[in-house]
Amino acid sequence: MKKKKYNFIIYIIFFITVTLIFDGFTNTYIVMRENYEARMIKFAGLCNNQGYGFYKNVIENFSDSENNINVINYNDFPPPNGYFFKYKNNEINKNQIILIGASKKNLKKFTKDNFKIIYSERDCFYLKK
Amino acid sequence: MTEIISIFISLIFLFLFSNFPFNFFVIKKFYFSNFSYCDSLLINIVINCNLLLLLSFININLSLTFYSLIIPSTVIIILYYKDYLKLLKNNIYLVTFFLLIFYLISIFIAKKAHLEWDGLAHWIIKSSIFFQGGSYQNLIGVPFDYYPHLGPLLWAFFWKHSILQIEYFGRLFFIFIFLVSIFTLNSKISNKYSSFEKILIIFILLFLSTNLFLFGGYQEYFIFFIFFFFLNFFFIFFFFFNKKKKKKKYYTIKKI
Repeated sequence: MKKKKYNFIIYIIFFITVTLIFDGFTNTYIVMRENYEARMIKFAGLCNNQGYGFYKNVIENFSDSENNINVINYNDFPPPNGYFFKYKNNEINKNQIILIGASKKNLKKFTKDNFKIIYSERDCFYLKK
Repeated sequence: MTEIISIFISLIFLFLFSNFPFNFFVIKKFYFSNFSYCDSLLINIVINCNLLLLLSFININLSLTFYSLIIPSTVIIILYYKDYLKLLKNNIYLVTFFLLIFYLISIFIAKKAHLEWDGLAHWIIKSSIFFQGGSYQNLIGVPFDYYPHLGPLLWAFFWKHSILQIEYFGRLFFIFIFLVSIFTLNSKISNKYSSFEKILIIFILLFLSTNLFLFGGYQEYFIFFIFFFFLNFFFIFFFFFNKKKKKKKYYTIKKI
């Protein structure tokens, strides 16, 4: 009986140590405190990194097209369109584009091509012809 | 809190998925006595993955496949509940450790939630197609369409059949198969070691072979699982048939 109790305590200490190694308590707290969207914007970025937040904002509030929107991400990250990919509307509308982390020089290339800024936030732009 | 509960519900689905078609207790009783429960999970996962791969070519509804796997698996558990309870009671610490590690890696993925480079640029698009009810033909023209589609199909399968239908729930499958592979080693470790020492060895192996970055949409752990599966069964059958041959030799010598 004593050995069983001793074993139980050893296992409990071991499990708590493993939880601490994997940062389990902090991660649980973060998941409980912030919802999925907030975490996505925090880690995939609003206008930085993958530009998830900006893309989401555009398709929810500014784009009237059902098609997938072409994205160029100038940050060193892949474009965020994979998160919102719709295979039924896979034809890309060439009259609209989203630029993530674009410099003035990058933007000029498109404004020269008759694109107009519909919505922008920091260095992210939603352009339409 | 809902997400945490959903993680555990997804784990139940993953367990049910890998508990069918071969029943561990039948295999152990009538075929191979040196089989562990994790070995039977490995076989079932590989069979079901191949089944899903075949069905992906003939456009069968994913939900129909899901329920046709989950319902018989639940029936098996109900029929053999006493054996399952006994198995759980005998390995209570190992099962707790499995649940803990699964939860810890899952909650890490839930916290970060976003996909890493390959996951976002190559795999999620394929997975989204299957998630939205698309078929094999719809893969034509997407980026890297010549890449294999089994990994994204499984990802979409568990993404679609999770409670919250959030993308990362599909990736829990990769954690599950990785952990099943590592925990299979428990039965291969000599019985000289106590159960605590075995768990400690598993933890060390797990800690050294875990790269949490790769759960961000990469398919590396799926490849690891397939390699591990073949190696494991080569090991089991090699020893099993060697033992049988040795026994036969012994009998022939005795007769002489």
